[in-house]
Amino acid sequence: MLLLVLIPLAAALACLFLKGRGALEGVTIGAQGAFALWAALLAFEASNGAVYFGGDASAPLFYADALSAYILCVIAVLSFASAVYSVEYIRSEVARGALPAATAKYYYVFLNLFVFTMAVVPVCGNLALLWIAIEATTLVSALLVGIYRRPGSVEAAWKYIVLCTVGITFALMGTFILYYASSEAGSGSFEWSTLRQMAAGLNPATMRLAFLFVMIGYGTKAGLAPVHNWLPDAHSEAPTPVSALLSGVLLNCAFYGVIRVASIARVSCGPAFVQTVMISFGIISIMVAAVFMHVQRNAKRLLAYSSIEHMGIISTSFGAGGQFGVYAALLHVLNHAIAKPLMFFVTGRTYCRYHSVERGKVKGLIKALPLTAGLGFAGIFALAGAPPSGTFISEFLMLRALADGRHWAVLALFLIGGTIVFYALVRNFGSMFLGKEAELKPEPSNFKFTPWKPAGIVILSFAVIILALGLHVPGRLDSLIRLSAGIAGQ
Amino acid sequence: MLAKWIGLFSVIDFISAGMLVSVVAMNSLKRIDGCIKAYAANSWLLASMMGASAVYLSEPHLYAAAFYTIAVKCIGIPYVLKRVAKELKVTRETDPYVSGPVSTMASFALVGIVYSALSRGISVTGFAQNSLEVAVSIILVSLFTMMIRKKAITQVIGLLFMENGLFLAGFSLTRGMPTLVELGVLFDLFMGVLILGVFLSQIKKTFVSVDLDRLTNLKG
Repeated sequence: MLLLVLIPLAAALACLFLKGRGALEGVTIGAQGAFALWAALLAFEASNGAVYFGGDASAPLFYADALSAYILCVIAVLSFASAVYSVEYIRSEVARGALPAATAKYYYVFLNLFVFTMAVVPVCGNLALLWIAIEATTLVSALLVGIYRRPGSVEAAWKYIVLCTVGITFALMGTFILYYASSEAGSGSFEWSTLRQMAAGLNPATMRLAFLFVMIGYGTKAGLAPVHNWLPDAHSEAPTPVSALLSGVLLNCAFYGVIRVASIARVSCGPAFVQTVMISFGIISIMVAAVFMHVQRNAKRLLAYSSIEHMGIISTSFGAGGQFGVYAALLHVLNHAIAKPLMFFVTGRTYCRYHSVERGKVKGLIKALPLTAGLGFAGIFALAGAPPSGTFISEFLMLRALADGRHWAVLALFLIGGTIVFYALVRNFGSMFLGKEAELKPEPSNFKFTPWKPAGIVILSFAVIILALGLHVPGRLDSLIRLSAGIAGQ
Repeated sequence: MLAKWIGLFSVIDFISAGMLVSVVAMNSLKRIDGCIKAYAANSWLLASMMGASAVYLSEPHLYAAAFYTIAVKCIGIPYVLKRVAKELKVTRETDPYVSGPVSTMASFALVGIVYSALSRGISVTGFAQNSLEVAVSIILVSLFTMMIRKKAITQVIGLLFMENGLFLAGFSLTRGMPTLVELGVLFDLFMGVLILGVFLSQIKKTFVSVDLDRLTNLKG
C-alpha cells in the first residue's frame, strides 16, 4: 500500500522522456489524480490502524497512521489542484515568451518530483529519514523557484536553498540529540513510535535541548519568524502554481516534523516547556507578518507574508493545546491549504492578464475576469479569518484554547495582529479587484490571456470548499482530525 | 593491538582537534583553491576518525561509513567545487566584511564560548567525549565564515564545513549513524552541492559577478 507513494516519482520519470505539451500535462494531471485517490484510500485504512512498510513491525522505516494520512491527503488534494492550474499558467507563460517551451518540460518533471518528495515526508517512520525527505523537498523546490532565471528568481532560489539548508542542519542536530537521549535511557532509536513509548524515561534536560534545535531547524523551513527571511522571496518569485504548493503544503510538511518531536517532548520534559516555545514562535510570526503585510504592495509577497501569519496561528494553537488547540491547529492546516492556494490561483490569473500584481497598477479585475475576482473576495475573507469560512472556525477554536489556558496577552496580541492583516488584505486586493479597469496591457502586445476552463473549476471548487468548511466539517473529516489530534497531542 | 594504541594515544581527540584547526584556518585563507583544500583536509580527518573508531570499537558498519565519506566528501565534492571555481574563474576572495586576523580571533572566541556553554548542558560520555564540543564549534565557526565572506562559492564551502561539523556531532552522539541514514544525508548533500553549482553559474550569468552583496533586489 505504501509503495504507491512512488506514483509521482514515476510521473516525473515519464515526463523526462515524453515529448509534446499534451502528453506532459496529461501525465502530470493523471498521476496527481491517482495520487490523490491513493491518499484518500490510505486515510480510510490508516484510521483503522497504522500501516507500515519496510523493517519490522516494532521499528518500521515507513509508517502511516491517521496523522500521516491526514497530512498526505492535504498534500494530495493541493498537488492535484496545482497540476491542473499549472496547465493554464504554463501555457500562458510560454505563449507570452516568459518561459521557453523546453523549460516548460522540466517544469513538469520538477513539479512531479517535488510532489514525490513532499509525499514521502508524512510516511517516514524514522526521524532521520524524515529529515532526509524534508531536505530533499528544499533541493527540488529550489529548482522550481529559480526556473525563470531572472535576477530576482535566481537570488530568491539561492537564498532559499542556503538559508533553509543552514536552518535544517539544526533540526538534524536536534534529531541526533534525541537519539542520544534515547540511547542513554536504554537503546538508541530514530523511530518515533519507539521514542514515543519510551518518552517518559528520557532525560528532560537533553530533551529540552533536542526540542529547541528541532524547533529552530524545522521552524526555519516552516517559515516561522524570526527565521523566515527566505520565505517572501522564494514564494513570490516562484511560478504561481508552485507558490501555492510551497505556501499551502510544504510549510506544513516541515511543521509535521515539529509535531512529531513535540509529541515526544511533551511527555518527557512536561507540556509547559513545549507550550512556551511554540506559542512564542507563533505569536512572533503573527506580529512580524502583520507589520510587513501592512507595508506590502506586491500581492504575491503579501500572500507570502500571510503564510507566515498562518503558520504562526498553527504553531500558537498547537502550543496552546488542550481540548481545542491541537484540533484547531490541524483543522487550520487544511483551511490554510485551501484558502492560500485559492488566492494564489486568483493572483496568478491576474498576473497572466496584466503581467503585474502591484497595488496601484492593477485595477478593476472584476470587469476583466468577473468570476475570478468574485471568488477572490471569498478567498480574502477566508484568509483574514472572517465568517463564514473554515479559517474562522479554526481561529475561533484557537482563541478558545488560548482562553482556556489563560494566555490573555497572546490572545490580545493575536487580535491586534489579525486586525492589521485583515486591513492589509482588503486594501491590497480590494484595490486590485474593484474600480475602473486599468489600461495596463501585457507584453508583447499581440498576447491575449485565455482562461482554461478546468483551472476555473478548480478555483471555484476551492472557494466552495472553504466556505462549506465554515458551515460544517463533514463527519469523516472530523473523525480523521480527531484521531490525528489524539496522536499529535496526547 | 591497533585498537589499544588508538585508546592509549587518544587518537580520536587528536583528529577532532585537527578538524577544528582546519575550520579556523579557513578564516585566514583567501584563495578559493586553499579553501577547497582546507575542506578536503577536514573531510579526510572526518573519514579517518570514522576509520579509527571502526578499529577501536570493531564495528564493521563504521568502515563502510568511512568509505562513503571518503567517496562523497573527500573526492566527489572537492572535485565538483574545483570544476565550478574554474568555470566561474574565481580565484580569490576580495575584501571580506571582516579581515582575516580579526575573524580568526573571533573564531577562537566562539570556540571558547561553545566550550563554556556546553559544559553546563549535556555531557557526552564514552570514547568521543570531546567530539560534541568540537562539532558545535565547527558549526558556529563555519556559520560565521559564511556571514563574513562575499563570494558565493565561499558561502557554499562554509555550508559544507558546517555539514562536516554536523556529521561529527552525529557521529559522537549516535556512535556512528545507521548506514541508511548516513547514505541518505550524504546523497542530499551531494545533490545540494550540484544544484548550488548550477545556481552559481546562473548568478554569474545574471549578475555578471559572484559577489553576494549584489543580491539585494528583493527586500521587505
